[in-house]
Amino acid sequence: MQLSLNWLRTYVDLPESLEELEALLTNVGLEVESIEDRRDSFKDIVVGEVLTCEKHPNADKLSVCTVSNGADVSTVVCGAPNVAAGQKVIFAQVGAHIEKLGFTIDRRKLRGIESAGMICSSSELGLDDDHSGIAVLQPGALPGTPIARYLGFDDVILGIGITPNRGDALSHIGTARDIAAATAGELRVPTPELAECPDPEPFSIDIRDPELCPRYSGAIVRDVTVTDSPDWLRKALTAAGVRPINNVVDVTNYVMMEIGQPMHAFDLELLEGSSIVVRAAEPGETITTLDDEERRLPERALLICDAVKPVAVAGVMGGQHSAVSTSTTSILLESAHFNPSSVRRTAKMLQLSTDSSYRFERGSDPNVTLWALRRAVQLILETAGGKLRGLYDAYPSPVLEKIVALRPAFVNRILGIEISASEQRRILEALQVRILGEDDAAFQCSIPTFRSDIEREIDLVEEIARIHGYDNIPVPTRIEMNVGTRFDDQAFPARLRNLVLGFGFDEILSSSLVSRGRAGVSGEGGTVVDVLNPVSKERPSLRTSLLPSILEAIDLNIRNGMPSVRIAEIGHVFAAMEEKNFTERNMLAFAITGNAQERSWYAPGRESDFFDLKGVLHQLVEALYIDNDTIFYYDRTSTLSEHVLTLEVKGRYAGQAVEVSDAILASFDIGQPVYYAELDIDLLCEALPKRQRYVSVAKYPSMTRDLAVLVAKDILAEQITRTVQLGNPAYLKSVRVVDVFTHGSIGKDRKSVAFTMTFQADERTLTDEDINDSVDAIVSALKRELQAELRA
Amino acid sequence: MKDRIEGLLAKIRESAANLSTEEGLEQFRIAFLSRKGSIAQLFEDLKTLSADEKPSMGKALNVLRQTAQSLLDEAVENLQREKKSGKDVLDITLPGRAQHRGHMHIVSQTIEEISDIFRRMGFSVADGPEIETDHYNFEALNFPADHPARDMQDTFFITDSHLLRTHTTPVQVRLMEKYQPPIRAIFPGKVYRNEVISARSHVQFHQIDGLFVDKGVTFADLKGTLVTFAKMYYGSSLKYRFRPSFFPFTEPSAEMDISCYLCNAKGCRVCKHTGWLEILGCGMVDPNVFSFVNVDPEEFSGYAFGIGIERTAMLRHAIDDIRLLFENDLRVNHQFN
Repeated sequence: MQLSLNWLRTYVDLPESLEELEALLTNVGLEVESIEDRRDSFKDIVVGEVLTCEKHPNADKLSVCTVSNGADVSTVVCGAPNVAAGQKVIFAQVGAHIEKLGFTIDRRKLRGIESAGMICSSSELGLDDDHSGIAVLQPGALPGTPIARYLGFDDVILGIGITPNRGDALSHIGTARDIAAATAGELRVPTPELAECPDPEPFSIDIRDPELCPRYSGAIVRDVTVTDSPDWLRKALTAAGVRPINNVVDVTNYVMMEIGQPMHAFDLELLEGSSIVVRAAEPGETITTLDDEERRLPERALLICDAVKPVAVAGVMGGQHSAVSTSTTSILLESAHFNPSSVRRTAKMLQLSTDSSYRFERGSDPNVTLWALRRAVQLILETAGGKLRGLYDAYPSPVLEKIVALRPAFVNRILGIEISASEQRRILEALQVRILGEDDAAFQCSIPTFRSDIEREIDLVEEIARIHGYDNIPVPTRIEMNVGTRFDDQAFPARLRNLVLGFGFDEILSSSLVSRGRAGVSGEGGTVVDVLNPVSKERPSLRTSLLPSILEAIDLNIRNGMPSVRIAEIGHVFAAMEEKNFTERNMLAFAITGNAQERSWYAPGRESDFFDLKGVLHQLVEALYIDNDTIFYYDRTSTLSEHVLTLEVKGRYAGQAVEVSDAILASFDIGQPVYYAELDIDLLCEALPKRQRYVSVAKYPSMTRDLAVLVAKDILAEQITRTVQLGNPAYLKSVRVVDVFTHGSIGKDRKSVAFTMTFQADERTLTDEDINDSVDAIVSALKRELQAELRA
Repeated sequence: MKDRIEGLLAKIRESAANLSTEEGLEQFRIAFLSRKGSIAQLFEDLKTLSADEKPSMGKALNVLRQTAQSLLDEAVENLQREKKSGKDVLDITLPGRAQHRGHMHIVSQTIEEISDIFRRMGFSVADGPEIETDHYNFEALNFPADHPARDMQDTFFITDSHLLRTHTTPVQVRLMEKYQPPIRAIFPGKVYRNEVISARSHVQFHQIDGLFVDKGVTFADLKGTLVTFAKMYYGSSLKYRFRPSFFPFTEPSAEMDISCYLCNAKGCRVCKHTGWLEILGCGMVDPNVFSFVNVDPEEFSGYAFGIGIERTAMLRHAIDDIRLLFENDLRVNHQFN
């Protein structure tokens, strides 16, 4: 909201300095977002009067004028086509700096004639984009008046951020009220001066839906002359950020900016019948609004109608048909109170937000409509002439002030300070809350109807706190804390993240919203969840897996020339199981592509492969000490690849590691292998050991024995190690494949696999004899199960 | 004779000072200490001296020989020590064997840093779903239907009753349903707003919300905790102010500003020439919120607060475009941590 300092000053005494005023407003909750001090603008530029205007003797397109500044007369050469004697103009005198043009006016000769000044266009002052000629001012403009004052620029414009609960502050008087309360100053609200109307014209107001329109007040004024507003009115509105239109419309806007009551003026001659009907729209009804758009009205939208047709969308915008124009002579003024929710719904559905709807949505004062109406009529009579021909007020069930009990002790209990009951009372009364009585250590507070946001005791606590000043509530030097139940849902994800960072992965964070096509890639179960109102049609869907995010990041970084990309992301993935039943899992994904090792002086370069990824996955699981419940499978299927390593925890899918299939990579424009793993963080967390217990370390040394076997090429390493462990050979602690070798000399369908086995006993040092039986059993199991042949 | 001995001693000392190679050592040995070396030569000449001179000169020659020998031994030792340390074979200027190093995302870093401060002040850490119901995201937080307060948060809807949470505040409702006071927790996470993506706004960002509910919690407590947080995070010399604001789920509501650390509160583009930076919103839990979770506002009171992570990180690290945070260009990510 934009406020004029000069206007504000008429209702309340302001602090000396702008800084004090800014701090004051911000401290009461009316945040000053901007201050534009226009008082120093346009120095040495004044209203000038063109006394004479003749053609330049030496130039066709130039004129030679004499211009008066009210005291002296100067000769000015002017190039504008529309300059003429008798005009009031913007006159930049010698010494004036024209900021827009970047020069200072000086005496200089133009085609032989000395010019002492410049007649300006409004665009040259940066007021608008009108380049057609010089600005011609109102005939009544007084020569010599500084142009800043003439334009209403001798003012300070305050930009105030008003929170949605403070509809009452959306006006100069509303803001002045808070200032008066905070400074213990006097609030000066004018009383509209209006003669009675002894013989009102017959006119009726019929409110069909009093819930949506509790009150409708109207006034008829005839014989008005619609024209430009006088300077004071134009200035006031311009300073408040409202564009002047004509004197009638300007008055309605002025009253709105003064007291906060939105108003509307109809051309009475264009209304049919002599009644106003307030009713809900019927299905399919349309209206052409002031902005010249035909709008289909949403159902239940509240309409203002004449005897025949809708003439305005209540609280939002008037109709084009009955708009006030220069040919208007009779007007009906509307000053009403509408239900905030109803106005908001209608404005939202029409995608229309106006100064009027903005205020009604935030709650207007039902009991100010008549004041506003009288004030508007008074100003219209002053500025547009005419006669008041009737005041009408339909108010079926008057809105009464709410009574709220406030315990001063409760205020202090919530705020943690001591504000005396008398000071609390002073603050409330300054905010025009009436204290009806005091009982049981509580004030019975009658809340003015312009404060629709105050309904409860706690709301009054805030009022006292903000006027007392938040900064006057002391900061305790010790922190009170009572921790209650302890939990840390972020501890495990953070631990996982640190592990993965330690394995050399860069953490990324991506958008959860992806394209429809990519959303489903790799999702496990359920269907893709779409948002109903996506901001981007390209990315309307929630990812079911982190894979699309990872691949998009890989694609970008490959294109940026990164030789190696190791990235990880922690994030939620989403799926719909059935209607309105959504699953959401917190996942960790990590991926490797490009170099595993750069070429260097100690080693040749090496491309990443699946085992870089698998190694990390195993180390990660090892680092969590959850091996008892964790099983890796090599025989599961995946939509991502034909080779998949699946991780199950307690029999549930907990993640996988794959070389992403070429088809998926191609759909992301990636032309190199990508190794991708994902883990379900919550499942892993469930499997964490509650407590790590010490197990005594082995007292006796271990023995190792190496074997190499020839097996068919399609026998997997895992099959060999499982076979070795078959039947739990005595003393065998572990087995590890150390070499895989193929060569023509051992047959083209066979391979040699070497492994090392570790044996250990808890109670003594083993001898060769102790393990020979185990080794024999292992060899025969390999022969029996895998047709393995022992190599010499 | 005496002069010759002294001359030779000087020569030996001079040569010994320059012994740095094996060949040099050998030459030194041959020149001075070998059977035909200079010292041996002098011993030979000793025979020609008179009996008076012989004993003293002989003694001097022996000292000379011992000196030469010990100088040689020392040089040999030095050379061996140098060899052992490999100074002449190991080029330690070659690059070391590189390990991959991971970088934490700046948003995660910021969340962790802020979370750790609150952990130290006794706050637990909670999670919540990103697909929320209208009930948790709005109704139970005292956003009436058709209220302009909802305009503050443009919402992505999933169904007529489900949406992407617009703030992390709904977690406070879930916590109050699950636990009895005292409840002292923060809840970081991702939130969504249906806004046009630009340098200043994105459809997703992160917040940390916090809640403390107990008997006798006051606005002064709120200030104490948040001022302590701000001093721990931004530095203990900062200036701050609390000013009234509006959130449906708190009453009274406030916003906390700190003196702009980018311009020392002189006024700059970032603080919009006010000298103040808004860092968080806060307030006392609204009794209506308590009534949704059956906490008696006569018995308990509480405060709540919310911090925008991206804004905090962007201000701190002079990042001028929020899109940079979610594009995952590693040339950006590598600049942090």
